[in-house]
Amino acid sequence: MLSIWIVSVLLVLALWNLCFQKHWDSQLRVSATFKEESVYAGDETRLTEVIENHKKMPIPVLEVGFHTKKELDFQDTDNTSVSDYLYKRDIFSIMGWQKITRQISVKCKKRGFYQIQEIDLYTYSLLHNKKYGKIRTNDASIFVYPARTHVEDLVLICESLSGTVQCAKHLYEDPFAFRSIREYTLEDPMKTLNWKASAKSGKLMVNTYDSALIPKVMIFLDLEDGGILKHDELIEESISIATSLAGKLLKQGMEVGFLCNGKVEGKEMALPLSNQRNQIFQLERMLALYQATEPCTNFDKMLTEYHKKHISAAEDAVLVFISKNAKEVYYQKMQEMLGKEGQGLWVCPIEQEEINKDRCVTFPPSRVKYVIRGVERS
Amino acid sequence: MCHISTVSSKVCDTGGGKKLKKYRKQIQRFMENLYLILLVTPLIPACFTLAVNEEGREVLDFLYWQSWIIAIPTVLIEVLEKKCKHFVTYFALGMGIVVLVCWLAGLCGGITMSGNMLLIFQALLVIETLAVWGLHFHDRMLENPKSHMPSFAYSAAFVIYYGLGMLFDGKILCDIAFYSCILYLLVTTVYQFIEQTEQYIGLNHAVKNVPVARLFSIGGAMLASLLLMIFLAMLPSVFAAGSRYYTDVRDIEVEPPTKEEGWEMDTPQVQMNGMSTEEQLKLLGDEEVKKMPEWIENLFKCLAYFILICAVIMCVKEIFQKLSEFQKSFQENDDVIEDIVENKETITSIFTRTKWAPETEREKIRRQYRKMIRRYRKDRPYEYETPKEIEKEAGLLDKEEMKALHVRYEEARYADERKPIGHTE
Repeated sequence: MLSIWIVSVLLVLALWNLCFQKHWDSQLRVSATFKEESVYAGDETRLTEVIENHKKMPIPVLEVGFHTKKELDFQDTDNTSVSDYLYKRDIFSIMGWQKITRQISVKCKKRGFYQIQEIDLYTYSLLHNKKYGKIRTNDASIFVYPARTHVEDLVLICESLSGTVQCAKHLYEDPFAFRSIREYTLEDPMKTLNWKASAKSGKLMVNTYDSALIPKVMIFLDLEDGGILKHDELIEESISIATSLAGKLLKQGMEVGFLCNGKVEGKEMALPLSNQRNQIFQLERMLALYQATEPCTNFDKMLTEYHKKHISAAEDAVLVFISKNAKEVYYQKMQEMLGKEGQGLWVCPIEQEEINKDRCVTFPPSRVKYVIRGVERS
Repeated sequence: MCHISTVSSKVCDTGGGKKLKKYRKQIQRFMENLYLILLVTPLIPACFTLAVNEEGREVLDFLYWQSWIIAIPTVLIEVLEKKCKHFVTYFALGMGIVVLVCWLAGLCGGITMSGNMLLIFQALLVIETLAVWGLHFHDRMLENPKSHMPSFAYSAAFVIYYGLGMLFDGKILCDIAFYSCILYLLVTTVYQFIEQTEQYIGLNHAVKNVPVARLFSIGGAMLASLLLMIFLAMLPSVFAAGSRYYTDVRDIEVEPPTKEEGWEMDTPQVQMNGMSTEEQLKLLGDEEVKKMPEWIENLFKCLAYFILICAVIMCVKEIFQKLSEFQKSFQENDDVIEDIVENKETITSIFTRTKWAPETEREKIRRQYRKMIRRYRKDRPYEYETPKEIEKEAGLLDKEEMKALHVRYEEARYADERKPIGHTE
């Protein structure tokens, strides 16, 4: 009879919809992860989306969406919309007991810390008349370190500024800092013979040690960007110079310290002089987390406070100042910090336009070597 | 514990998507015509049910199938719309189709009808043809016509037909409405599924890597499962079709029929003198036939339902099996698709594991070990005893048979559960 038939059909449809509504997201695992934990700005990486359906019920339409900061450039930009954040949406269709993996190329344009903390899941009923949604937490993050820039010229300057220390490096060996084993020469003392290595190789072999005198470089970074017109590219270039220079110097075995007038989560950005392996890692990570919205202390004030605490350190280390603000006050302060015998370097990023129009500030030659770095406006 | 089986989909298909889209469009066009035909064909039987008396209702069965002539103008008008660009040609050819329908109605209807009935049949068919033509013309004028799309709302027409059949004692009309409604629902569901999915894909045309073929295939498989369940659910109503209560509202005030005088049947005269009633009934062949007990009838019904349910489940499994095989041979984007396979040895669900469930390899080895130990050691070993200590207490340390079993037992107990026993890397 028609009425029985209509009732039974409606009942089946209602049960079907109820079952789908209750169970579509059970045993469904969705994750989005970055291939690497950290990359440098300008590099490419991959984002992997994995959908696992650990049940028999298939899901004909599954929309997976998330949002992140807009500085991440997804290669298939058709699926994205950009406003305050970058919103990405992908569509999948998955059978029961199946796993789908999709990889998307991502270009990291700007330094920062990017996270995907939430994933939005949407599905539709068979005839697309009902939409169901769920939000899942996700734990994907990537550090985009400041872009590397060429600092060979600055490294040479630093090496020349620490010249006396470099020369004396080979005179004073640290017996606890083992470096390598090499063949014996007439100049080597007998006490440095490594008998075990000699027996193994059949030739006399000696131990060599690192120098007790290690050149030190202290980097001061100014991130202050006062005024109405903001110079983001100059700030980014300053950060890139600081990290690239620190990386090169640490590779050469120098001790590098860092101090900045910016703050990360309210804390001061500072690293003591050290040449440990994780020094560059800490520096890059710290600068990746820095955001321009955080307030900066005055550079002059920061230098004054440092000078008060570390007078002796200032005399031992080469001081490198990186600041786009070419102010006379800073120049005077730097000279004061260097004292009578210290050597310093001031790297000043300036827009290439200003250099071309010959509108940049210059200072008379002194113990502070002033270097201008041209930056193209993007 | 689940592990992932290897990827099997290799071929990237770029041209197949267009073929599938063309195929879907053809199916949709066919369904649009079919829905119109299903809606319109019961109209003539309904009119005849209302108009004719009992004598004329013998032809209703044939009348319904003759009404399917409307399929010809429906298809021809659709072709006409696509091919004809000029209005005059369109109108002239349309009139030609009307004339053709009239002639066909006369030809087919003449087999079972004559006189006024035949004329009425021809007239109704012509009216239906004009209505279909008008509908197509109206859609042509609109930018986004929707009247040609099958819709669940139009199934109310079958309820009306069914109601008319019940009220005017039209068993055949009721059957026509009932089974047409079932077919209509099937057609509409499939059509709406294709239409809504196409619409969804159209809305997301800017999204890359949309798995169109998978959307349709997985959705289609689920739809097929749903339709099978609906088929199961409608069976009681099909079986109950014989117990409909028909009335005729035209005969409400008719006097109750008078009792007819009894009549006698000519039967051969049989000598039954001196016989008992039972013997007489037996001789005449009028003995009461024993009815089947109700519980047996119910049992057969339950068995029939059980077989049907099993058939439906097997159909659904087969559909998904074929779907899975199809998807493994077809890849439309760069997604890596893998199957997740349960490792049955490691499933320890309390609700699914029964006493009589088949033993795994590891359980067999452990049972053999336990049996061996219990044969030689009466007391129960302590939890902290190692297998070697247990064997020593049982006095089995030097036996060769025990040594071999010991090795297998250690492997069954401590090896990686994902790998089978005896697996070496």
